[in-house]
Amino acid sequence: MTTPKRSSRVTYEIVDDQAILIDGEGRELITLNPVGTLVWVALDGTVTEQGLVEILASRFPEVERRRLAADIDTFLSELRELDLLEESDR
Amino acid sequence: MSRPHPILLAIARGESVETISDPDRLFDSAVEHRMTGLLWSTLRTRPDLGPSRWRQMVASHDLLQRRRHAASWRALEDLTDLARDLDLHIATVKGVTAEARWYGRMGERPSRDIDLVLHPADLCRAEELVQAIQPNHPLIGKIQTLVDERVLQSVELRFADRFAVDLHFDLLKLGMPSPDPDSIWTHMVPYRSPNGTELLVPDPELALLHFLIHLTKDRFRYLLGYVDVRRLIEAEVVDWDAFQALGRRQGLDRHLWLALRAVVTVVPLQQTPTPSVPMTPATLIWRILWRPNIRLRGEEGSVRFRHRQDWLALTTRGHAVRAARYWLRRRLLPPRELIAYRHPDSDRYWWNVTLGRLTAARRRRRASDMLPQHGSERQENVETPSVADWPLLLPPSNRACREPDWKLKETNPEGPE
Repeated sequence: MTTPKRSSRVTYEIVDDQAILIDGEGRELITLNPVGTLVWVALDGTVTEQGLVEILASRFPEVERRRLAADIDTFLSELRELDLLEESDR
Repeated sequence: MSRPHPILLAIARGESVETISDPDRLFDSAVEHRMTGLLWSTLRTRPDLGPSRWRQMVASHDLLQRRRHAASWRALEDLTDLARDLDLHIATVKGVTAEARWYGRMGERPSRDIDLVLHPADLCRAEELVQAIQPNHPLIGKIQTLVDERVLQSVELRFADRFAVDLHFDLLKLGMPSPDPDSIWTHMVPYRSPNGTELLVPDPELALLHFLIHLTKDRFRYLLGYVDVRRLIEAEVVDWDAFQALGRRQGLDRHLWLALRAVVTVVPLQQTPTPSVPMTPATLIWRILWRPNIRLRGEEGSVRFRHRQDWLALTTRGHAVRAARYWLRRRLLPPRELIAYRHPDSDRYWWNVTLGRLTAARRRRRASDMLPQHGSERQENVETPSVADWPLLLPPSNRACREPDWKLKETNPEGPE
């Protein structure tokens, strides 16, 4: 299972529960919403994708896990596309 | 707006901030006075200050600054290696090293260029260094003559097509050669960059001298310059006798004490000596030209009061005649190579000198006309980002990552705590 991790080339700041990121080339500023920020903070390289689902599930117990997993998958794909993640196998 | 916002003055003095009632004006002023980094340092520990969207804008500004500084460090290391390969000795002043030495974090002291100083003994090889940094610089082939004649004190370069480099052939750039450049170099000390490259930087006494001379030449226009002095004095053990001796050797000791006193009136510093400076023609001129009401005028100071810096050299102790000679040379008979560089399409020297003066005067008048009348608010500053520019900081595709579908059902409208 892959363990996504924030790229060390990304600089970010969390302002009022929202992460603002600047990509490695310094070309683009990206603002995450509060839920995206929750996931972003957890991307320290120790939490698997399943672990991310667990983190969100504890915050939003009323949401189906299958739906959380799909949303996280989409979110991580977007981050990968923007070159904001590093991957490691666990 | 030109004078700093009162909240920025409080930050510069290290005082606490209670409330922010006019965030847009505050940010504009912070940009103008180079204080955005210190503003963000205050805001990030105080979530209660300012509206959220505005805080995000200040943070975005800071992130861009941090990214720029990280790149500047790498460029500085590359430039150091490049000079070392040529067996040339360079030091660096201000910029990212000043931030690392006297500020709390990257991005706190905004800087846009890399300031390098070439060792006095290597001036005879100045052109080699310029060629290595920017091989296509238009002054290549002419620089060595200008440096040898001591009429070119610095040159602005682009390194790797990206980084602005200000290469100094004379650290103080008074308009005449510094009276004792070798003594300046003896105050350079080693400093390790984050990646372990050994650089040369000024020791506290020389750094303080340089900050104060720079502030004076700059008409004390930006608040960050005051903070530089405060941070240095608070962080270092300044040998005041060595500082006085170094200033004396440059004929500038009285100027330095007057400048330090000007700083201390805005950002009080304990245990900073402020010896009385005797009233002489030179110090009288200083007090008139750099009087309090021309200071801290921000961008307005870039347009007005420009020629005051010429008086710094003309009032040095023991070097006034030499300064006058260089001043006349620079103003009346500027070097042909420089004129040819500025007017590449024509080789008519006197015509170009006159044309250059008229153009410069017209540019100054136009810039001056754009400034608000003293005491009124600035209407617009095209170079200053403001809250109105904020959407431009977002990626064109508005790449704020998508809200999950279930979030739109307002499962938790406030988001996580």
